[in-house]
Amino acid sequence: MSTSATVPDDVEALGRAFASGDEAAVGEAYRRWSTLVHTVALRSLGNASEAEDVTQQVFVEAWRGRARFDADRARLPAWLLGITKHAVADAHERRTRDRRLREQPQVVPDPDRVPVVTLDERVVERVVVADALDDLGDPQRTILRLAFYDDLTHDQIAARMGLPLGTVKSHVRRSLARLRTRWEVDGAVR
Amino acid sequence: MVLSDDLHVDDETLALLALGEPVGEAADLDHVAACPRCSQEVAALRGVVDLARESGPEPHLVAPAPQVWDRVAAELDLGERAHAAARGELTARPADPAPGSSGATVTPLAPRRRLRGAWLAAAAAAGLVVGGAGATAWSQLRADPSTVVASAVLEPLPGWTPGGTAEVRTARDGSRTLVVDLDDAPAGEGFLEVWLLKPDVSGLVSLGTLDGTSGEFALPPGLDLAEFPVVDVSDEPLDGEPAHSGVSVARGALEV
Repeated sequence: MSTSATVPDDVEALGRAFASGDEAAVGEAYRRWSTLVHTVALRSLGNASEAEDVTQQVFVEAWRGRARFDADRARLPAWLLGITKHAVADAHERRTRDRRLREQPQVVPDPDRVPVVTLDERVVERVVVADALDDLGDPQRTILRLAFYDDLTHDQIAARMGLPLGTVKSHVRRSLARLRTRWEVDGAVR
Repeated sequence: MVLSDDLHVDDETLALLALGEPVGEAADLDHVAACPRCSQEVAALRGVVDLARESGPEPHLVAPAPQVWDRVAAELDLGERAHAAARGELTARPADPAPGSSGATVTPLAPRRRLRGAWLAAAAAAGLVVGGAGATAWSQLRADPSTVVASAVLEPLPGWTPGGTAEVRTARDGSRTLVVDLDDAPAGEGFLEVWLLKPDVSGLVSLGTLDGTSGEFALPPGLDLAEFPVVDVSDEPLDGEPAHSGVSVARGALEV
């Protein structure tokens, strides 16, 4: 997906359209980040039906609460992930409550001892980085995949892909920086 | 020795070190070990590399089933623009700033629609269909469907009799509606049109046709009421000319 729709700057424009109430913005946000939201929910909950409910809830809440979204201060995917975090925590809480009602009618558990299950931040970070890698165009994506998963060095990658050494090094540097930005900016879930 | 900025190891070498490649000369590695800036850079990039490797070569990003979008669209009562954008057929754009043009230039904006009625009907339907979230929204709407944020007394212009009132209401979802009520139907030549004007009438925004003596008009998101605070009702001939006829029937300034 190396189309103009994924250049970094248009995320801000989309955020402003979202905040200003253009209905197209919620459609576009869904097209671009529903996979991210859904994958985080699925990894965190391990249940397809709950993950779909959370995904629906996140986009509905985001659109209804768009007046609270400040496009100058936040990026839309980070904001969506923040809502996802709360929705996942709510889903975990519902499960705990349901289980308590089902299993232990006579024992009232000490509420302080019930572990509060929250979103595993590492799950979010992994999915954000995987999504960012997926968003890289080629040859950048292939170069990083060979470096990450095949443990090839940059000169091995250059030989395999028939690219100049300097080109591979430059792609590695810029693509890693790109993933780092997405990780730090979008993955920094409140 | 691979130094940049005369002082630090270059970024390409740092990136390769983060990947675990055996690059750099001894002097580079000594520098990275001793330099907070370079070692932090490598550590941050290594964090990204670790996260990518933890996911593995098949990270299985899973798109939600197609019906999830249908459920979102139904719950929010989204229109064709949203569906087209979800299909990738159009791109969202921030609302244009209101033009500061002079003269009677018409700024056509939101399609004319009865927003509140449609919204309530959709919320009611969502409450019946999806339970939870929809039902909550419905009860909130019943308790407090909208808040009046500004109002105006409309005074008849010379030669016209009916005055009236106008109110701006904000719904829970942040959308704004202008509600216009005239005391009586003016005896005009054509049809009535509702506008928002700048105080010096140097710019104006058309909100739509007033059918009968009262109507509701969706305010375009991003429209600044401080810039266009004057509600104007005009008598428009059926001449196909979209500009203001210059014949105003009633007018009043919104007070927040």
